[in-house]
Amino acid sequence: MTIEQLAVDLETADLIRGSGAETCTLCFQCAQCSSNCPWNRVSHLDPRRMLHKARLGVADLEDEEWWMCATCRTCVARCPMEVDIIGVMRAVRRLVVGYGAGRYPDSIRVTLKSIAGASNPAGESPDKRADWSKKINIPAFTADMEVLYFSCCVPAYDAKVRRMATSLSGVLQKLGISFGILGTAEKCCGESVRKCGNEELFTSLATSNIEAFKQAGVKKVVVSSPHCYYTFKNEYPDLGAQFEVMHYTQYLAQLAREGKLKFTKEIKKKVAYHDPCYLGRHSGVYDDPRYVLQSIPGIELVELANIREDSICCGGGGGRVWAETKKGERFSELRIDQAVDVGAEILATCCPYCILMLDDSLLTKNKEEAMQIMDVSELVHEAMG
Amino acid sequence: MSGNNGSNGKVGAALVVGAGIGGMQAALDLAEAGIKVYLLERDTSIGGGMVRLDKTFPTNDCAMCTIGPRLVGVGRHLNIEMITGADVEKVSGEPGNYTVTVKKKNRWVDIDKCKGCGDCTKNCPVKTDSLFQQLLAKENAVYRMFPQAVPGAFAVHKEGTSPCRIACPAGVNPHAYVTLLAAGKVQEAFDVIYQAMPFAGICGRVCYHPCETECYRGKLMKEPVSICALKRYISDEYYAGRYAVNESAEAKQPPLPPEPRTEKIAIVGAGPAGLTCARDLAALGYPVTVFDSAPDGGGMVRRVIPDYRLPFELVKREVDAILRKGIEMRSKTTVGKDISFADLREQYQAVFVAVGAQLSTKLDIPGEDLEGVIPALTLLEESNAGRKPNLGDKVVVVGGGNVAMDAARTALRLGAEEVTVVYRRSRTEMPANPWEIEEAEEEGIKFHYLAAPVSVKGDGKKAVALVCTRMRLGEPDKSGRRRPEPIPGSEMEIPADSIIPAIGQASDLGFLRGTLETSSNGTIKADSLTLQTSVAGVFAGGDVVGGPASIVEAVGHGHEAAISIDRYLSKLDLKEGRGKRPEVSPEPDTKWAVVRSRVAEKRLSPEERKANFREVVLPLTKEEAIAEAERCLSCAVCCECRECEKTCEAKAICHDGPHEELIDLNVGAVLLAAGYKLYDAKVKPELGHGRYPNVLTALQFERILAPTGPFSGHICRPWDGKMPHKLAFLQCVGSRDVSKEANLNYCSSVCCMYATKQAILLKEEHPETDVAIFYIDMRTFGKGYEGFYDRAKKMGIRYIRFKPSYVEEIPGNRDLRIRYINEGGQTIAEEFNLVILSCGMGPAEGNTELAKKFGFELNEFGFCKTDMFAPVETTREGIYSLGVFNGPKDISESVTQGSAAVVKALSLLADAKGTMVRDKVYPPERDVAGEDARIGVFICHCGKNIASVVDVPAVMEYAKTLPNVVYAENLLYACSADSGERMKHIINEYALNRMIVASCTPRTHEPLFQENMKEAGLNPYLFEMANIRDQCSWVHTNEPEMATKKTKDIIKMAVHKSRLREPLYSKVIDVNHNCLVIGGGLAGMTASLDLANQGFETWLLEQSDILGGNLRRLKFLLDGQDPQQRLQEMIQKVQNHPKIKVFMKTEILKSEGSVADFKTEFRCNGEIHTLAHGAVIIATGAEEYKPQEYLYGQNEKVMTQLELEDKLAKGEFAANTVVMIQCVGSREEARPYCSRVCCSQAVKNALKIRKLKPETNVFILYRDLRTYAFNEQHYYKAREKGVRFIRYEEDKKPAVTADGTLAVTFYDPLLRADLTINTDVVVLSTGTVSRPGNKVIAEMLRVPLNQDNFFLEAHLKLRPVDFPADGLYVCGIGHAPKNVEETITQASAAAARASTILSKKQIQSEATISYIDEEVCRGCGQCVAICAYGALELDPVKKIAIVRETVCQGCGACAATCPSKAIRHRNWNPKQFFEMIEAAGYAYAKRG
Repeated sequence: MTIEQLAVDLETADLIRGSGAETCTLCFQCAQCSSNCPWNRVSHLDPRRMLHKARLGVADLEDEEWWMCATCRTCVARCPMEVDIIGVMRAVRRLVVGYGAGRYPDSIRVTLKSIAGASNPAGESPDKRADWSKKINIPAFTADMEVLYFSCCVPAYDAKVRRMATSLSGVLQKLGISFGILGTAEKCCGESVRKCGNEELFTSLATSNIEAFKQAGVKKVVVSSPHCYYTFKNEYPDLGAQFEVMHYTQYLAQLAREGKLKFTKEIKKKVAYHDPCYLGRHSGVYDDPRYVLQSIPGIELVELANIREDSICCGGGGGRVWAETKKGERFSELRIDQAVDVGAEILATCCPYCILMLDDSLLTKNKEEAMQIMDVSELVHEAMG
Repeated sequence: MSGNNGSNGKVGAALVVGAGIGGMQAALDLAEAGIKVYLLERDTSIGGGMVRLDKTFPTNDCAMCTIGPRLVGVGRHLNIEMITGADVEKVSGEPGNYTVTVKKKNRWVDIDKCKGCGDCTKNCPVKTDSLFQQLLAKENAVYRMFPQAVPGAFAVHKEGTSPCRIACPAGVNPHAYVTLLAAGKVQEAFDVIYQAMPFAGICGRVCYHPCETECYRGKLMKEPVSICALKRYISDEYYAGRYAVNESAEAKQPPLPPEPRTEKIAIVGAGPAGLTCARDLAALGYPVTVFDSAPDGGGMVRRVIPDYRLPFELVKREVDAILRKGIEMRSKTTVGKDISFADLREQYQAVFVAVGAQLSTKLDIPGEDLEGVIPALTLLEESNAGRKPNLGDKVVVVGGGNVAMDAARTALRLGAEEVTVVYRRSRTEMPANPWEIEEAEEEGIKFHYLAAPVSVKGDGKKAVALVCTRMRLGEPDKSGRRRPEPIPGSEMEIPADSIIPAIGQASDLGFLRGTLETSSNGTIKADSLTLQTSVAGVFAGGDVVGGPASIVEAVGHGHEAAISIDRYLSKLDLKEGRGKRPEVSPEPDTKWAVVRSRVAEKRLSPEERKANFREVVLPLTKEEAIAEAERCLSCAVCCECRECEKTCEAKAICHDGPHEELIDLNVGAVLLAAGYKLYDAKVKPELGHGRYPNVLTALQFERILAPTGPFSGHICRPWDGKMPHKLAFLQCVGSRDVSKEANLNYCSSVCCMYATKQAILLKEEHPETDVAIFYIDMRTFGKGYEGFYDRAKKMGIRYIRFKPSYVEEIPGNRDLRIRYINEGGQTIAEEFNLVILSCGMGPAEGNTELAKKFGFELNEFGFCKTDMFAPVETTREGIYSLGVFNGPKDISESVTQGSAAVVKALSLLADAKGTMVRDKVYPPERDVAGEDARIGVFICHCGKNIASVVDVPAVMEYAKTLPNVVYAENLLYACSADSGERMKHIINEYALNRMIVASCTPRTHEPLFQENMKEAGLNPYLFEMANIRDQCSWVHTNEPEMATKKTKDIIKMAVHKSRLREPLYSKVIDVNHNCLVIGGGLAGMTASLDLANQGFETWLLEQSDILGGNLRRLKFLLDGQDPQQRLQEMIQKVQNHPKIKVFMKTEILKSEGSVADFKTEFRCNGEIHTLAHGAVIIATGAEEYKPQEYLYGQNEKVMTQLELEDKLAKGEFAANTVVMIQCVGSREEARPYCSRVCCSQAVKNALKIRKLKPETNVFILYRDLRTYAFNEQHYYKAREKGVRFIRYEEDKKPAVTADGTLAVTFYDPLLRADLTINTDVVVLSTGTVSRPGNKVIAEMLRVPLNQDNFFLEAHLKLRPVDFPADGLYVCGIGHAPKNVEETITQASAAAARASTILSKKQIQSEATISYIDEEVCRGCGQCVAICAYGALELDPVKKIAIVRETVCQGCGACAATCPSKAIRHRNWNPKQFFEMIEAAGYAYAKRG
């Protein structure tokens, strides 16, 4: 076998470093990232090696490995040197997407195009964005309202996940919360867009959303997606955003603690909770969703083998939700197995990507008889009677 | 303890805190140099971490064998005082004169009395996890950390007081009786209960058991231990006579006290309080009279508690047992009627009023006087008396307490059809015990809650119904329960034939006629602590004081009243020392506690029980009881059952006394060696420790490997006892982690080596085992370490450069799966039987407090802060620090630091040396020459240790028959002080001239018995020892006859040898106090200053014409200090020091003599000088490797690190890209060792380059980055600054080319590709090589070199700066590569070691040495070659070998080597051996 001949490329290395990979030289190649990467539970990915390539500038920008990362943050959480590994992945993708320095998966290319054109990954008309709410009469947000509900593109356009938005709206209505939606004025939050390296598109989406919020007089946003939550909380403020954001499980937990959330129906089911990466590891919210579930009468909360900081990703982050993953290599399948192992009748979560991925694996693993994937808000809605 | 002050107010004593290997070294060096030492240790034994190890790297010597003699040496040293179980409390004073207050925990065993026989452990019922065995084995509460522990005395492990004990109002010790029961000791358990609780059986049934409420198992896990039921079981079994091993406390009359008391005591009321008080006082010898209006004793317990709860017979038995103990019982005597209270007070010197509360409280409603309204107490008394009052069909009981439940259930049993309980609140507020309510419900009793009686409706004569009003609960009242309020207009009638009010009781206090103060609720006022009433001499307790309460509380009052009365009559303070609550045990670790649910007490079914008075609750079976008792978590560890006290024949154990005491020590200096704490692997649950049984820490595995470990060295996994075939080590657990939670930006320095060591040990024993070590960088940087690593690789140990971040357990076999990516880039999932976590070192617990108390600083990781140029000094003067307390390091470095710290203290206390040490003076020695041997034989029982197997009296009789034995005797403990006196007495009385002790091992005890000889005026070498414990009673435990026979044979052999023993004498040598230091570099100058500062004349010889050595070439240091400035300061000090003479351009010509008395000749500037000196320090240094490779010398852009450093310092360096190559000339075939400093040096220079010009690209090509210990921070910093580190492999070294541009090409194993870097400069990190001149010095001074031509120390671990022969020491890089800090440390250590000789006036040589039979010696020289000490040489004239008597250590290697048997060893000569063999052979022949 001939050995590949490579040369250190300082220019590329500097470009990568400058695009968000500043911490890549901190790596001392212990491989804890590679150990923890969920890809190695199903196939293969070696973040340690990728970091090494990045800091030497010998990254092959055509290589698909750069697009495999689901930005689940397990590696970052375990890195003893606190290297921003996701930042490194994003930096390389930025080179590819932003500067056209390489090829990348078609599915992602198409999706980014859709978002650029229609402000949603489905490529559907922006006019249809509020269609989901029509039957249940959600009013348009006005400045005197307490809360803006931001549904995320997936529930807004994807019929399979629409239930997230409708059930949460139902809950809020029953609680008598004054809330509304921005409807067609809102755009994709851009979180995954940025992770896919399209910095410019992200900035334009974010700026537009921030402007829309400002005009509507939004002070508090409740979101269904942990991805929206993450970017609103951590990335939007850099672009001038000034509003409070809560994930709906945080909001419901707060209401439950205040004694405002009350239930009339028992749900006698064994429920396991899957921590979405962007709510858990990225945002540190582990207890609120569990608190909400536990406050529902009848529910027996069981825990999966990997939970909280150790939770296994559904595989949908970092743009992977738009990419194709071979059957047998999907992380969501591991989660279904784990849920079966603990005898869960319901696998509850609170992220549209997770629901999409898990629902899909439930079918491919033929477990739809045994188990149901549900959004936390659905259970709350049901128990409120 | 005030110290003798030296001439300048300084104290000639020092405190060493921590008795690990470093602390012990410091203590020994100090004491040898004339400073009195207090050695403080937290544990019960000295030894620190090393005693827990199996072997030490890289020589794989047995750690215990290596450290054992040192433990004994410290323990026996005349001028080292060990203070174990102690911690520093506070410090005051100034350098040279400190007062340190020490807090010493009670050991509960008298160190002087305990002989370490271990008999105490045989009766201890407690089994607790052994900390020494890393929780892999159990030990008793009375324990010794390990057999070789020093002091050898046992200790009792106490962790406060168990909560169950504290909770019991009567002061019963449930922890003890539960533990004893678990060990099958029922009678002992009963005795424990009986001590505090004369009503064991009663309380086992009706107690409300507050002990169970407080039980940690209940609080921390689930369901408390069923303590009450166990007490019942114990008393039932005991009363049934099934366990009466001997007469118990209950049965036997108490021994009469030495002085019976005459003061008479009256007790009013024969209930539990009165009887308990009577019993206690009778036991103290007081005449006690108990008055009670009832015909029998027992009070309410006897009269009202129904039979189905408490069988009558039991009450009678327990009451009668008390009354049998010399107590006068006046029954049917009502005080106030039959005798007035005033008379009572007159006739008796003290009175205890315990009349109880037997009046039923009235309902106070209309109709209460109607027939059919019967107070509950009346009903219960009637029933208990065997009468059956007719209650009719419908009975209504009013009230919610236990009496109400008793009344209701009794009514049912008396034939009522329907029983209803009316209670005004709801069930949750009911005061009755919940189980009583449940049982009542089961039996069909109806409950009417929230109803209060308003009136009794009658038919004119008899009650027919109870009229109630409904209630609702309002706000909580004072009792915390919600207050019931009537609902207006809600009245209703409950039809009833009988109405039983059970709403409370009160005391009948009419008899007092107002003499005592009473409270508003009708009780007597008494002091809560002493129970004294308003009238002196009158005490009151039980329900009459507290209102209706429980039996345990009444018993508690009885005890307290007895104490008060005794004190009152003895005119003592009533309150002193009373009422203190003991400290509750800390929460036990429940992680590993077996989860088992509480045994369910069985009951008769409601059908079986409700119509009769049979006891409802059934007894536990033996199995149930023991299983339940085993659930006890043993919170306080020692349960204080005092069984150990009973067995100890030396009377060394005492459980009484304070838990700790404070001791003031006056010392001149303090040396801190507080050690470290192993990283707690449970902090990383993802690695499985604490979750998966087959994930162990490396220290646990070390114990598994150790022959002294829990499995005697048999390698197995503790979970299933099976031999593991595949093991994985995970490195860097608790090291090299900068995440905020961890703050471990340092390397623990030792883990790579210890993991490799464990792997090698495993492979040596089981070569088929597959061992994988997962690591980041292999850091085998010490002397001899790289070779060790090479050996491990050759043995097939797999080193995998990958750090797994989680471990998965496989259900079923509980193996562990690790996923990793291999060298080829494939993801692998591999399964292992055991996973070992190589845990790092963290700062010792309590470091922060220690630093605060002493006022010195810690570094950012919590270790002691030191300076590179003052590595053993804290930030406070006069307080020195050493070992891992200063940062992670291995044993040899800790030992080195131990000595180094000593030299600093010696300089400080130079004038006070010798002022506080003592020498022993012996009587003049008796000349025994020409006498026939007169032998005395002493045979030791060792408690039961020997005597329980060997027939000691028979052995003694046998010994008397042996030739020349004029005396033989048995001793309980031969090593005790009184035995020593006995021996001296016998030696004189019988004019003995030989002595034999047959006991344990000479290793620990021979010096003690030799001491006895010397004190009796005999030469100590006329002593002989026979080891009959290890060799007879221990190894032949199960064959006592054979053991006895063997004992006789061994003693016979000893006698035959003893006859031929000769007196031996050591040589006394006057010490020359000058010292010679060879080498004027950093090491030589440091050593010279350290010696001269103590006042020793020091001659420093330097080969070149300038001082400073290699340090001259270092231009900056990692910590930012300027080395040249420090060097200049040091040179100034050396040159100006009045005690240092510096000679430049010197050449050593000749050196002769030995320790204390050397003579060395050298040439300086053409002149020849001769120096007489007592010690010599070799500090000759080493050189930088001059590379042949990588275009060095051919291209000016290729340079070494030192050359780069020079250019950087001069500002002559400029480049855009720099590539550094590590391991140039190191870790390869020609020089297989690691040069240790090059990685840090490269990091240092890279940081400098980036600092001078931040945009410079720096690449460092390395094999393993070895920035050990705190150097890791700088490695981190370099990466943070953008320095790129890339790995290369040994067999694919980089190629440097200069075709136009300079480039480095190498194989990158992570990329699996050849990588080229175009660069401006290539810097070679060259290794350290030894000086060729070392050979000459080595030959001249007769000291050894290793294979790499570096000087070789006497012992890698314990004698790191010594040469085998005394008086010669080594330091600096002539010993091995090391950095500035390590060089300074080692130089100070060498100076300290030399000081131990130079401080003495005289030294004594060994006495048991070799001698040459000049007639036989042929001068072949084989002995000269074999002697490790250089003690033999060939006489150039006589052509035979001669022994340098002051150098010989008596090891005997020469005698074994000599082909012509010309070398003999004194007192171990062939004739003696043949005699012994003959003696043994004769014995064998006779037996056969």
